[in-house]
Amino acid sequence: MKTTKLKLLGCGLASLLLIGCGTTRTTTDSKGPTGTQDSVVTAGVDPRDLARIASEMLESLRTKGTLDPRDKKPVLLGISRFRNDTGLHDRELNMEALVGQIRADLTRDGKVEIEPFYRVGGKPEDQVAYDLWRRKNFLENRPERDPDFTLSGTVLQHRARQGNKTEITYTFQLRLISMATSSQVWEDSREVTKLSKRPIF
Amino acid sequence: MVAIALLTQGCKSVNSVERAEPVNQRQMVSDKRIITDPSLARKVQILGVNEATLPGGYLKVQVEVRNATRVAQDFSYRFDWLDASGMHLRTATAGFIPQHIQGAEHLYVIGVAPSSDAKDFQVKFIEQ
Repeated sequence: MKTTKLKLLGCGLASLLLIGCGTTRTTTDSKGPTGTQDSVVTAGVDPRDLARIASEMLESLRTKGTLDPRDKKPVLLGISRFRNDTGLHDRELNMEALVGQIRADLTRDGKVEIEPFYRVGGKPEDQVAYDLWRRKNFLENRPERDPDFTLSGTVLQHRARQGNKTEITYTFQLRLISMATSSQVWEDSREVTKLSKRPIF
Repeated sequence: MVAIALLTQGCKSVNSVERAEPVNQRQMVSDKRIITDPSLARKVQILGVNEATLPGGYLKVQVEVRNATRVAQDFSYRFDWLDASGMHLRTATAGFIPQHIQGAEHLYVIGVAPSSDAKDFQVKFIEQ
């Protein structure tokens, strides 16, 4: 009888140790898991996070109505610099994916056009087209059209740690500057918060 | 003791206060619901849908949902947009968006059409 009890106790302790000694680091969104059952959640910024940020920023931009054309002529938007002030490498925080989603939806109905020769980081996206455009402008003595607005942004990171838990908050700030008034006409920010738990053992 | 501790930890619900007679006038949409996950429908209930058209001609849709339980729930939602001919408009930001809702909390899920061609919508909810 005593041996059975000891065996049971041993089994219980062994299973507890096995559960506690997992070496895998688990990460969840502190506002709930990101995505559906099959998606991977990381301590960084997931594509789903970028999709949410892009969708909410577009909603904010549309609601403000700053990019609605005034005289039926499409608004020309210049994509300016997006600064990554986080500890993430540019490959882990794909700002072009975020900007690309916003750009694609903004231009969908032709009310907004994107200045094609500048992109995130300030280099022309299509160097050949850029060179041809510059040559054409020079030969035809055509004035270049400045963008009506420029879109820029910053991503910041805040890290808080307590025991084996780390909470990382990424703050995405986007702003729109009017070239006509040289003033900032829209700004919004969204947060992505990740809670990371390390196994104690 | 442990069971009680676990139970009490899970039951954090939201208290709220609002104007007794709201001044806003919501343009409610008569909606049709297709429930394939009764478990989610019981936990996260759709209270109503209202819409507005933004100055640029974009449709803005707001779905009011309520957590009918006293424990926090996670779900994802997605807006699908249709043009006047009922054709689906593919958008770059069309993925499921995760949402967390506290126990007994009301919240609004908002979508703005990516194009002024969008005239109709579908909102999909999935449990996490």
